[in-house]
Amino acid sequence: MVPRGSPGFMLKGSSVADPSWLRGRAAIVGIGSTAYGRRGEFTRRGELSMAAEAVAAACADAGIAPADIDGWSSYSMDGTEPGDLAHAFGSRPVRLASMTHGGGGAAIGGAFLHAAMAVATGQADVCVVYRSICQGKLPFGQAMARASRLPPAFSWAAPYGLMAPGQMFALAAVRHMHLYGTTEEHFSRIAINARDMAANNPQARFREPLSADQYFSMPYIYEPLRRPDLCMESDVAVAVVITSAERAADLDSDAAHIAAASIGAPQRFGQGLLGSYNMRDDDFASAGQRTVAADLYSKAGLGPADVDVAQIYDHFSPLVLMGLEDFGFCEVGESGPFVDDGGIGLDALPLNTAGGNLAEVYAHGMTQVSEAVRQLRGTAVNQVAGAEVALVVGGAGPTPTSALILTKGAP
Amino acid sequence: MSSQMPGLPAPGLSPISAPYWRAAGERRLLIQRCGDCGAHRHPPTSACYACGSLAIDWDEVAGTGRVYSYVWTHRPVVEIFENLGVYNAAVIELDGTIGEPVRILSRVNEIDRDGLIVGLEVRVDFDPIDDEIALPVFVPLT
Repeated sequence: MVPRGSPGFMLKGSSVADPSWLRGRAAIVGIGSTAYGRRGEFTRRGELSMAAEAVAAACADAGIAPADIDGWSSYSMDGTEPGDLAHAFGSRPVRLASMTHGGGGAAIGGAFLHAAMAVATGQADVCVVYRSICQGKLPFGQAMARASRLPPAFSWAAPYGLMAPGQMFALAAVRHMHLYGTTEEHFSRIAINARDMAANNPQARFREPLSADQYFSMPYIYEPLRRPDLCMESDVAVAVVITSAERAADLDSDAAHIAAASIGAPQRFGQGLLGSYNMRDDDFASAGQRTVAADLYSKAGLGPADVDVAQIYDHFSPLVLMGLEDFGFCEVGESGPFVDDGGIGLDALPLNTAGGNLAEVYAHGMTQVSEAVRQLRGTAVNQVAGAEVALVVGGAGPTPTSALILTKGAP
Repeated sequence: MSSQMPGLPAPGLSPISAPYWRAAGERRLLIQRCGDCGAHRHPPTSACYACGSLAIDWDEVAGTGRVYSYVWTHRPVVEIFENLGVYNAAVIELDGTIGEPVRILSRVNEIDRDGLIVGLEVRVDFDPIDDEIALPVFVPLT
């Protein structure tokens, strides 16, 4: 046998001696995006051009010239390279070119963690986290569906007709229903909340209200999931400017301080619902985020009771329920009763206040970060009065998933 | 539903996974087993998550188990699958493995929507892909 560490490390939070070392040392000082396009709308324009527009907008918001950027950070195999953006803007020599592996919006917190670490240590002065996606480039599942022979890594689910993440995450939803009595009505509350929030957001793509009757009148797509339970696909780019807390204090823009950023996944989580179905039994019907939550709260010195507004990645509505459990807003298995009893909403836990991936736009979670910043600045469309602590939770997905806590003042 | 689902893409083999698919072609369910500590694991990988060993063995298992979770696809991901109709995929937890439970993503043939429930007892069957390999699938035990 090969010597092994104790699995007991899993839920103890950060292994860093002082988990607070990054707390309050980095801040978000600018946010920007392109228009929110439907899938395929910007295919011909391309991701590099869109990323550049988002970077320019975020820098204008921050009051920093794009030429001053010396750190670039993204995730999920973003197709736009730091070298091309730095070249486009004639930016300072690149000192951070970071990619956090993973899929979809799962690893988003890693991009922020690396940027925050870079400005906190002096490795870089001004970092940009960016994500640019044209989802019309290759409609989901087409490449796999048309392959006569799959790549080996994709050979465990696709031969059985599972190619879209929504199909795979439905497996977690059905397991959650079996274990805890969760219902489609519970899913509907997440979908309806997203539309309620989007109704006030002029930029949101789906602003039509959704009633419970309308929800239940829609056919299943991936039973037990219906169209409103599944996120949209979009063409969009978003960028966020990060600098040190010291430099942020000298800027005119309102800073959102990074209290903590964490990435992680449970042991044996692997590709999660996208490829490995052999994670621990406890983790199957979860968002795979309990280790991230423990680490995040430990780093921030805050807990769920301190969170004024939450942006929880909503690619599929049941995963938001599981995220509420993983991040301690209710007990494991209790998210259904929690949303039934009015647990989410502007007068309870304000959730996905711009409409999220279900109703605003699908930028792999970046617009959930910019919405958190707007809430802390006091400029959100569904403003939470006095919001001082915002939680942003990345997508349940492959290893690693991630989360951030932002605060209005220095934590 | 029919036991065959033509049109879905065929699995690709790697040196690590080929024994699994070739055994299925001979109507045998092989599960990877650690050559050192003996724990089973799936999908096949290059090291043992129980002990870290690189030594790989294979075991033929009985192929009985229970439905752990499932999903019914009503609308196909791409139009070319519209001929499949409403179809299921299911995670099956196998009986008689060593170590952590072993689960296989597969489907349950010969079942309707009301019949497919968590805990349903199933046994393995095989849908041929070509002369060499087959897809392990499951059918209700009774």
